[in-house]
Amino acid sequence: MYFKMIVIGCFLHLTFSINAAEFKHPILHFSIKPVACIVKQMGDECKLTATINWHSEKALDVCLIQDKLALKCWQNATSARNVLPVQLRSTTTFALRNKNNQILATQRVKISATKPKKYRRRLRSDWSLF
Amino acid sequence: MILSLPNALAETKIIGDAIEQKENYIAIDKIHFSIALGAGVKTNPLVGGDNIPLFIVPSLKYYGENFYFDNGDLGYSFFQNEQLTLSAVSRINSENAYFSRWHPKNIFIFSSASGVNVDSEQIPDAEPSEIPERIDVKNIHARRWAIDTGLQLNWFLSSRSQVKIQVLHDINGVYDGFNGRVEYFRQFSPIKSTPFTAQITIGFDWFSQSMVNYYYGINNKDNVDSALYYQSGSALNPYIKLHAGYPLSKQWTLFSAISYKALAASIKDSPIVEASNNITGFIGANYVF
Repeated sequence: MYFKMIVIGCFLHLTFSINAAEFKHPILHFSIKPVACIVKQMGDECKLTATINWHSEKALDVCLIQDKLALKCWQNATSARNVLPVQLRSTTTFALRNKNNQILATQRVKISATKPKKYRRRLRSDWSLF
Repeated sequence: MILSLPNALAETKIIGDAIEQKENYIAIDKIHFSIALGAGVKTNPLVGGDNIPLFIVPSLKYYGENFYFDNGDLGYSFFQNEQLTLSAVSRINSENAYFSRWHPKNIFIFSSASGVNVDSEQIPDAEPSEIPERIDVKNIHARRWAIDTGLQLNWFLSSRSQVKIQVLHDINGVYDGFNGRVEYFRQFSPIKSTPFTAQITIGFDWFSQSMVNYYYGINNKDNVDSALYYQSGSALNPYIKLHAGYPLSKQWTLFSAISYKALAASIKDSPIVEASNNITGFIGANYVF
């Protein structure tokens, strides 16, 4: 399983690096590993320790964003390599955002299930009766 | 600086653990039943329609791989992925709840009052020789129950938020029209590091002209003075709902809920309507079986 994850990670990491080079923003490289998380059943929570790596051609104030929440911010930095605990239940796009709320780079972490799903999304909100 | 992080640093692993509580997810092939106990009220905008006290509100849900029943919604999801679910859905039109005590939406709400109060007094200030401006709902032709069927799209923006779009048509020819709903709801944690959760829902209901006129229009079937006949156009009713909950245990959750719906002019101008909004409030505890 870990070997499979590494293979997927390397492939997507390379793909992103090519895209980043074409990016007009100053981020030259941005990656999160692993890029996929395998859970038993869809809907299970995935807890992983992610390695975040980025560098840019000039010093930046940026934050790493997950679902509009800032997981970590850096000030006046040209590069960073951090290890962070991350929790997700569905495929999630992480973003590097500058102080002007501009998205400089993104990367998706995908969730896949090994077993047929045991859970599904509710189609009404919990309190819709009221 | 770390602005927001999970409370516990979990060990590195690729396989996530199944957890008991799954926000916005539901275990399939299992009946989910809960009862809310407390005190609340649902206002009735109709002339002569009593507000409905709320004491006991049950909730029943069942989801299969594709089929589902969720508190009156009967559906079949024929397309599902992580972002979208498209379903055929059928349900009893809830608009009749204002006209009938024995609508399924009210039937489990234990109260001493009816949605339509047969003992209500006549409209005050109406001289016997004058034509009243308003009509008591008990004096008009009974509205029938409509069974709506149509399509529903759920767009999951994140694990805690989604947009729902619904377009329905009555299949038993009661009002021979359409209604729709667009709704956004989002759960959030107002106080970090506590189990306190909240949810906000905003949206609007749209009723076609024929639906508005069936429920709120007045014509010769209603046996009232022709000066009170009323026909109007379609309606757009915006609403907002706020809910807050605090779990005490696996089974019990304290919660409060309030919702406000503004009625469109085509509804509130009807002679059988005396309020411009519909408000529901409830505070109590929910027990999950």
